[in-house]
Amino acid sequence: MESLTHFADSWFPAAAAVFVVGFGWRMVRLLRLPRPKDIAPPKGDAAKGAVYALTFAMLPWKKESTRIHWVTYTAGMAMHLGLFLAILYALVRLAGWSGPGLDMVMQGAAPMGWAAAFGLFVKRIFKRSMRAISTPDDFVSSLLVQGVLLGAWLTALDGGWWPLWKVAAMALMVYIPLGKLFHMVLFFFSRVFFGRQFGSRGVLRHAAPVSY
Amino acid sequence: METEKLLGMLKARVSLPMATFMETCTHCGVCADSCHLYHIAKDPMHIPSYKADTLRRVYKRHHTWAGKWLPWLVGARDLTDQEMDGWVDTVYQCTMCRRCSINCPIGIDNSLIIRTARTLLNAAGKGPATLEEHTRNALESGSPLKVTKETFLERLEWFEGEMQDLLGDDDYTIPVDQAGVEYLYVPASLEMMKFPQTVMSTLQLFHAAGINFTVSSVRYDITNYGVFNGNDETTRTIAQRDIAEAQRLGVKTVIISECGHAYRAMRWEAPNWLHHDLPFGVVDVVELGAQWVKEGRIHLDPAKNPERVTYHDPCNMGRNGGVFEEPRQVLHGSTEDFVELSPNRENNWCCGGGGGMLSMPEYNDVRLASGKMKAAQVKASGAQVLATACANCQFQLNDVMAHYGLNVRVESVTDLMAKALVRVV
Repeated sequence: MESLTHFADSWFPAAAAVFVVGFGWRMVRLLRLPRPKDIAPPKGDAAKGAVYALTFAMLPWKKESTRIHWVTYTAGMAMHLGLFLAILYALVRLAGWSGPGLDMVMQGAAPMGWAAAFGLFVKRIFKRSMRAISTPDDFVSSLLVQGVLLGAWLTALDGGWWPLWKVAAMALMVYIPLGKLFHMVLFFFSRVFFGRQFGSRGVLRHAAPVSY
Repeated sequence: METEKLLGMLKARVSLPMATFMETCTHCGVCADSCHLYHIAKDPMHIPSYKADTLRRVYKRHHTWAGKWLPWLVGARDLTDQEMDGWVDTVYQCTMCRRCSINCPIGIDNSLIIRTARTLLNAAGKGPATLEEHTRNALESGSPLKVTKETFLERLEWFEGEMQDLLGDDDYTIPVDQAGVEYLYVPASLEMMKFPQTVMSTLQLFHAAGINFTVSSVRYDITNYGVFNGNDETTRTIAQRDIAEAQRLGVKTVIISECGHAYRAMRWEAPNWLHHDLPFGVVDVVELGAQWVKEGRIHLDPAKNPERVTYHDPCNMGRNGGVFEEPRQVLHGSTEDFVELSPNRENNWCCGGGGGMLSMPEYNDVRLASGKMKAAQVKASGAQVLATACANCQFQLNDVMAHYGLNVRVESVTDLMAKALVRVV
């Protein structure tokens, strides 16, 4: 564990630097791309469409797909919630704060998130349709997320696991700018583009002037 | 076409929204069940995410860091002849209905990706032969079905005679190439040749509303097959010709007949393709009908359509055009027993005839089978009449009702509206 601690402490800044540079590079590349303006006379409200797409449209009962695949949806939400809390927990620890309350939250959230991520991973392996659309990136991303969640869980149980968790987090940070985990940012872009277009065309009910 | 040129075409189309849609898919797979094609036999090739991955693999190879250096990791592939051959069935069987976009937790516009893939396939000369032929016809003769000016004028003469009989007015004429009037009405060739009753119904509505309109002997088919074959230049050329004719005639508004893709093309896409506002308004005949009912310009009697009627939202009118309520307002006024399909509006099932499917006979079996969800929801509604506001859908729905053995009559909204017209003397 001592060598792991040394490795984590020595290389954490480098991993963070790779994350920042890679993240920044990918963002700059994207933001330099043209942003075509829709000049067709609107029927609804693009801005309201975007707001709706980022809020109420994401409620599970609003989409047929999430209603049908409620188990997948719930697992996805649990995984993301666990991951966000794990990241928050890590930041709190890095800032030097700790306490049994925080540990207890993570002792619940991390295994919940990990179980969900593991379940989705298994589904990706065993379901024919999921295998057909998966790439190695999907599996690697899942494993890295699972690593972070497991690290957070173990650390919440016993602070001695903190270096292991740090290494898992370093791997995740280095990988984020490369693969699909970058959807953590692009998700919001996509929802806004979706909402703006369907809002402008009056397709999204909350953005349309007509009453339903 | 050389690979470099194709890659150049792809690069020219990479905008921030396109890059976002290319790079954000997490392959969660929940889009699968939102595709009507996937429901035929749960074939993974019809999972929207899989379909978009055709072009996405090449995009990643050339536009992302991971794709360039670690292509195996992200499934990136080079753009080769063989690779593109593998796209054809997947890309052309997609009707680009966007039901998957509505249901994607991320909101990815797969239809934008599919159409771009079609652009590349078209440039590489790999588009389905009949679709390409229909598009060529549209460019050369003004109509994908090769309806000539003479045929069109003959049809008009026939419509005129029918209208004279119906109205008991021998002086009734259909104005042709009349400049300075308010409206230009442009039908679709499919209506003229397969559903002439819809054109007749439209003329009855115009007469009842007392509008000042003309048809054109130059641009008499509103369809735009460039939308389907993916050739942007063709798309622009066809749209420009329609716009030039409307300008020549000096009309204030162009009335698009019941043709979903034509409405979408002219109302929503043309200003963006041409990078300027259109110098006239664009309205669908059903939108106009709803407006006239509201204004009291026409009066409808629902008792004239006593059967149970339901409505199929054409994807290009509804999900892609926001025309949901107008046909419903009209149908509520025109029919005694209107029921909704479930699901409807933005979640309505595509009929399976969009995206140029009617012009690709090699996919006829798939096209008919893909009406499975539509047939099921129509059956569940108990309707005797299935109304729709798109000639393309009407054609497909007729086939689907027959294929699935449903005794349901398919009619256009305009037809039902015309039947319900109360002639105010």
